[in-house]
Amino acid sequence: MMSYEQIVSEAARAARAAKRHGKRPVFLSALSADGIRNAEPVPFLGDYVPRGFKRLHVRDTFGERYGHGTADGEALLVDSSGFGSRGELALTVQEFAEFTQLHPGYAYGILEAGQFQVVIGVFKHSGKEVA
Amino acid sequence: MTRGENEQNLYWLVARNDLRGDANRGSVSLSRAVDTWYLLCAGNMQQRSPCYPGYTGGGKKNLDLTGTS
Repeated sequence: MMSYEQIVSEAARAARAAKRHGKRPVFLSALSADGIRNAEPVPFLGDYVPRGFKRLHVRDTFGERYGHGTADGEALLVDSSGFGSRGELALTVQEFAEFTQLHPGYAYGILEAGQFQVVIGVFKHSGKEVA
Repeated sequence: MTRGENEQNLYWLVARNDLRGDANRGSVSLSRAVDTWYLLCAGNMQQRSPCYPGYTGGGKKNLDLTGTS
């Protein structure tokens, strides 16, 4: 099991690497359940926010169902093990795909990666119109 | 990462999940594990990530299920 310190340390390392390699959140508008395997993987950004992007507060923006990735509702919590079930705090990958369909025009990046779940930030690009 | 490497990592992930053997949850859905791997783990692939084939999970040695190491 990963300790919290490990998770924070990995996120910090990922943020440095993301900045060094110019990684950006990925747009997953209208990601269908069938299209997941062909979608661009969600990059691990840590707390790095690339220029031109703004990270949204998930619970304030999308409601109480979402935002379980952090205590104050800043980010999505998504199951990364394949074991998750619908209706749990962590969205299954299919529920995450449905979220992208319900809310097109946003971009996504992994903020923290635990052993069974990832915390995903939702980003808005300042130069792109958001539906 | 090539498609072939992706596939190897994927099989490793699915095998690992099966080995985890959570009796309360039943077997992992292969389709769900595949989708999850492609979208989340492929973007999180690094040596110390849980999605990485060589990840040791805090010091425990993983079984080599890929035949590549």
